[in-house]
Order: sequence, then C-alpha cells, then structure tokens
Amino acid sequence: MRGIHQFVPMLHRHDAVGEHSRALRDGLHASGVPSVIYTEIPDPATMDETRHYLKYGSEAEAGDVLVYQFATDSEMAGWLAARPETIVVNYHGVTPPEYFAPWNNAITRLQVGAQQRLADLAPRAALGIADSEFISAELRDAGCTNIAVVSVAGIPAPAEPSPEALDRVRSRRLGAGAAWLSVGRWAPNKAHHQTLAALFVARATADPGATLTLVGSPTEPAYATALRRYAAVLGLADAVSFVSHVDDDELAAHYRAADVLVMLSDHEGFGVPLVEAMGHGLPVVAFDAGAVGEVLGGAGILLEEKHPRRVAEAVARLMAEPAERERLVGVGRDRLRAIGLDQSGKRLVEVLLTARTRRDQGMIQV
Amino acid sequence: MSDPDPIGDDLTVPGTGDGDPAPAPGGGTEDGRGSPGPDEAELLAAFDRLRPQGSLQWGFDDAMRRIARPETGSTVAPWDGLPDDLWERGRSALIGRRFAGDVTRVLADLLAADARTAAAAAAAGVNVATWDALRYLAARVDRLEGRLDPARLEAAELPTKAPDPVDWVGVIGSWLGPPDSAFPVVVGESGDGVLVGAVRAAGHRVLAVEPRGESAWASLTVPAAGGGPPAEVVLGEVLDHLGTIPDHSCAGVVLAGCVDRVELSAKVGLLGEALRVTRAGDPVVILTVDQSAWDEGLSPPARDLAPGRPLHPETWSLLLRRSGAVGAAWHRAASGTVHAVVARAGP
Repeated sequence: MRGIHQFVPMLHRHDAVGEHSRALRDGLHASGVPSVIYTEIPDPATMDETRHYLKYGSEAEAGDVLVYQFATDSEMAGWLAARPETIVVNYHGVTPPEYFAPWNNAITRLQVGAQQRLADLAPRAALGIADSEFISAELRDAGCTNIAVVSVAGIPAPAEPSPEALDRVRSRRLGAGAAWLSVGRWAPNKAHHQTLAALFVARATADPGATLTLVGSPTEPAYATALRRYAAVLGLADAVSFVSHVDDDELAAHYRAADVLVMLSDHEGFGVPLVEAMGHGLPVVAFDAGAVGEVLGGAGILLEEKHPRRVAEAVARLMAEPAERERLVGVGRDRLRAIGLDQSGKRLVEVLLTARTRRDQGMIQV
Repeated sequence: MSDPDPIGDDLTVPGTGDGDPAPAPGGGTEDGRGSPGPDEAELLAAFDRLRPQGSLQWGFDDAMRRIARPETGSTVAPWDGLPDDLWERGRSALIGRRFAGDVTRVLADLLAADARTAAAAAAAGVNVATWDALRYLAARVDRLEGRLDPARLEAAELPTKAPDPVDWVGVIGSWLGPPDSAFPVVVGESGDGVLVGAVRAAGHRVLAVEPRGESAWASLTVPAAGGGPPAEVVLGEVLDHLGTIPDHSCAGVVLAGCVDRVELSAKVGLLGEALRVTRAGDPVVILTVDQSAWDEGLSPPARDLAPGRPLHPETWSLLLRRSGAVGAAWHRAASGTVHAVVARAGP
C-alpha cells in the first residue's frame, strides 16, 4: 500500500524537528496512511521507530510520497533527489554559515553543505512546506516553486508545571529584580551574548537586581564557553544561570517563574520559544529578525534594533507597566489560538494528501 | 515541476500565511535603526574578542579538522575478464603468442592493481599514525594549558584590589614627554580612572584598558573631568590588547594591577609588549603594590587563586633592563603602598 514516508537525518526526542516528524507520522497513521520514518544516523532512543534510509529501496511502493525533513546537511538529500518517487521538502531553515564561521569551521562547512543540498533538492521537489513565510522565501530562492506554509507540529500544549518544579526553579532565583529568561540553543545566531550585554546595562542602570536564566544546550561549545567567560568579564557570574537538559516540566516552570522572555536571535526559522512564552503567559521582548515578527504578531515588544541600552529600556518599560504586560499576555493568548499549533499536524496531513491527489490527477509534475 | 496553481497559495496556516497575514506589531515597535553608542559598541566588541578564530587554539583545531581520514578503499578497477574476441582470433600458430600476450597484459594489470592497493594501504597506515600522533599531541597540549590556569577565572571574578596610585597622580605627567595626539599613552588596567585622569590632565590622549566590565563601563559612561578628548576605553586584558598595538606607536605605557596579579611569564610578556609599542625614549611605568601590603588588600578567593603576586621593585628594574629598557629607576611609595618603577624604551 502506497504511503507517505519521512526521511530525517536523525530522529531525536525533545527536538523540534524530531517531535514534528513524529507528530506528522502519527497524523498520517490516524488518517490511514502508511508512514515510516527513515533515518541516516540512528538514535538509540528512537531506533525502534525508525529504519535506515537505504532499506527504503526494497520497501518502495509505486505512488509513494517521500517527505524530507530538511534542517541540516545529510547525504540522504542527494539520495532522495535521485529517487523516482514524488518528493516533498519540509523545510525548517538552515542557519546561514556565516554565523558559525568565527566559532567552528566544521559546522560552517556543514551549513554550506546544507545550503548546497537545498539548492540540489528544492527544484526536484513537487512541493515544499515551510515553517514560516520567512523561510519559505529561502525555499523559493532555492528553486522550489510550489510552497505551503504550515507551522511546526509536535509542540506540546503549554501545561502547568508541577509545584515541585516551580518551587525548585523559584528557589534558584538569583536576585530580586526582573527575572529575564532566554530559551534556545547556545549557538551564535541566537545572539545570547547580546542578551548578556543588555542585562549588564539593565543592572548598571535601572534594575541592579535583574537576573537572566539561559535555558538551552551548547550546540556550539566554543560559543557556549565564550558566553560563560563574557558573563564573568561583565561581573554577571552571580546573576546568570546556564541551564541545560531540562524536561518539559522544568521548562514550563522556567517560563512561569520568569518576568520576561528576551529573544535577540539574528536568524529564526520559526521561534518555538515565542509560542511557548505565549502559552505560559510570559511577555516577550524580541528582536525583529527572521520569522520572529511574523510569529510574534504583536504579542510582545518587537525591537528593530537591539543595542543593549535599547533592550534594557524595553524590559524596564515592560516591568514598570503592569497593564501593558497584561495586555501583551492577552494578545499572546489570542495570537497562539490564531497560529493554531494544535492543528499543525492535521494541516500537514491535509497538505500532503492534497499534494498526492493533485499528483495523481496530473496537476503536479514530479 | 512547475504548477500554474501554486499549491502553497491556498495552504497557509492561519496567522502565518498569505491567507491571514501576521498582524502589525501592536505591542509597540522600537523605531529607528542606528549604531550603538561607543560604550555599547565596546561592550559588544569585548565579546567578539572572545571568538576563537585567529587564536593558536583555533588554528590548531581547524588544522586537525581538515586532516581528513585517508581514503582506504582501493581505486583499482576490477579485471574485466578475457577479451571478447578471443575465439574470433583463430587457432593459428600465432594464437598462443597472442593469447599469451593477453594473459601477460591481464597479469600485469593485476600485479599493478595489487601494488597500488598495497601502496594505498601503506600510505593509509602512515596517515592514520600521523593522525593519532596529532590527536595525542593535542590532548597533551590541552592538559598542559589546563595546568597553566586551572581555575580559568576572569579578572572580574578575581577581585584583586586596584592599586591606589595616590603618590603618583601628581607626578606621572612629568615622566611623560610632550603630548602628541598621534601617540597615545596606554593606561592598563585603568581601574577607577584616576590614572587616566592624571595622564589626560598632562595633555595626552589616553588608551585605557580594563578587564572588569563594571569598571570599564563606568569609564565609558562617566564623562572624564579635565577636558580634552575622552579616553578610549577597551574592555579586555591588557596583555591581549597590547598585542594589537603597532610597534613604537605610543608615547608611554602605564601598567598597574595586572602586573601584580598575573603569573611570571605574563609579567614578562607585559614588559615585552609595553616596550615594543612605546617610542624610543618614552616611559614605561610600572605601579606595583608593596609585597608586604599585597595580602591585606585581597579577598580570600583572590588570595588563594590569583596566579601571581607582586614583584619587588628591584626585580622589576632587573626585568626591565633585561628587556632592553634603559634608566630603570625605583620610586618608593611615600604615603601609600604602591611603588613606581620607571624606565625608558630603548632605541
């Protein structure tokens, strides 16, 4: 029976692309469509739900649709480009290599390779699916002509943290001032160092007790090391927490315990922390880059520039105006409903089934 | 692959696609793009200087990454079998010679292939051995570097007390030559800015270097008294920044704080860099805390973890002479606990 199968370089749990792929597979199964996730590199935690992509050759059925979850470089992209089946590229964005160049030459080359893979595969795709309008432009520039924009699936609905997790996070609060929160990989494009600089200025000016919790993981170890050194140079070692390996419960507690989410990324394909903050009623101060403005849509203070003083002022204003905070939190809830993340999985299935029907009717060339 | 009815146009998810464009920012947009102020720019530049690119470590790591594992697979084409026209060649008396010729050629190809395979395997073994040796060398260097600075503390985490230059504020200008705006005087560490003010008061342009964010920010944001051009402030380590200054481009270097807390090789490095950047005949001034007063001014962590301690002024004089300075002179602390050692850069 013909299916809609996914190809993911690696399938991880608690990873945006991993959860997205699993949600899409579950949605396809619920619609009665056979769907297998094929990977290039197995993850022991998900091995029981994946197969190696080279096995697909012996399992192929006429009429299959192959969905490639594109977020990084992989040999699978070249292999897929040569397959006769209908190809769909589900594009999550590739961080431009220039952000990594001063930090890690290997990752830089990987990102350059990913851009090249996209250029090779996009023109071959019958359909592209992008997480946001922002990255749909990258897909279009790479040569994909049919593009749908559907938000990422698999983001869990915001849940109340357990009292224990909330107590634990609150007990670790480092100061009496505003509690800033920043969530995201510790990678150069996330610009956490600019958040540190802004916190430094805030403490030197309006809010000496302000603190920052950085929840993430050291995607680029040299950058993560520099962040810690920078915090020390600025005398912020006692005002900044670096927190990694959090589960959903503890992450929710961080959102609930914070006063503001500060997000100064230079390149965001979607910005999952934005919608998580909306779900937890946390106001946002963010730099208008990538898909941030598109996703935030008025549910926070959007900065057109992010000089440290300007960021510090924006947070101070937010803290000084409770009514404005409440208004933004309300806008965030509405915005979250409008984005409809809980419907993303269903929308993805609809898009893929529609594409398959159009392919069968000869409306899409493959 | 083209489609006159682009499927994407009618498949956008609410709120993020064409069908429901993102609402205009209602939460307030900060208008106007522009450059950050010099204080903010320096704050951010200090982070950029932590990038590893360009450092020895970065260069070594990058070289290691570029050493690809050797290709161990054989590139020799397989033998393609007996010639297709063997039987058409006839059973003449020549066939044996012709067949023997074919066999010889095939055997020669096989032998050559074997030789190439053996050579490739040998080369691969050598490359793997080289690779292993480099990895072990890298690990040993990492371990040795770790021993140099096991605590890995930044200056801002090591609250050594800034030396009180009270005895020298009034005279430091007399040690310097005539002001020339093309040749700044480096003051590092600049601390609370008292020395910077004294040098500026003597009419000199000042390049201040301070490794503690809070002190640097104070210098950047508080207007200096005394008029004249404001000091240029760099947030960073003095030794690192001296390394970026061209030869003989300064009218003097005043070193304080860093000379006491860093370990011996860095002390010597500071002297070498200070003399390198200073014009011949201009002064290098070392303000060093009296050894007996050192411990009293330290916090317990600094006392335990500071990698260095003050040298005696006579030791500084010796090191200055050994580094090529001339006329090294020890000026004893009068009321305070800070001695001055002044020498002139040699020709």
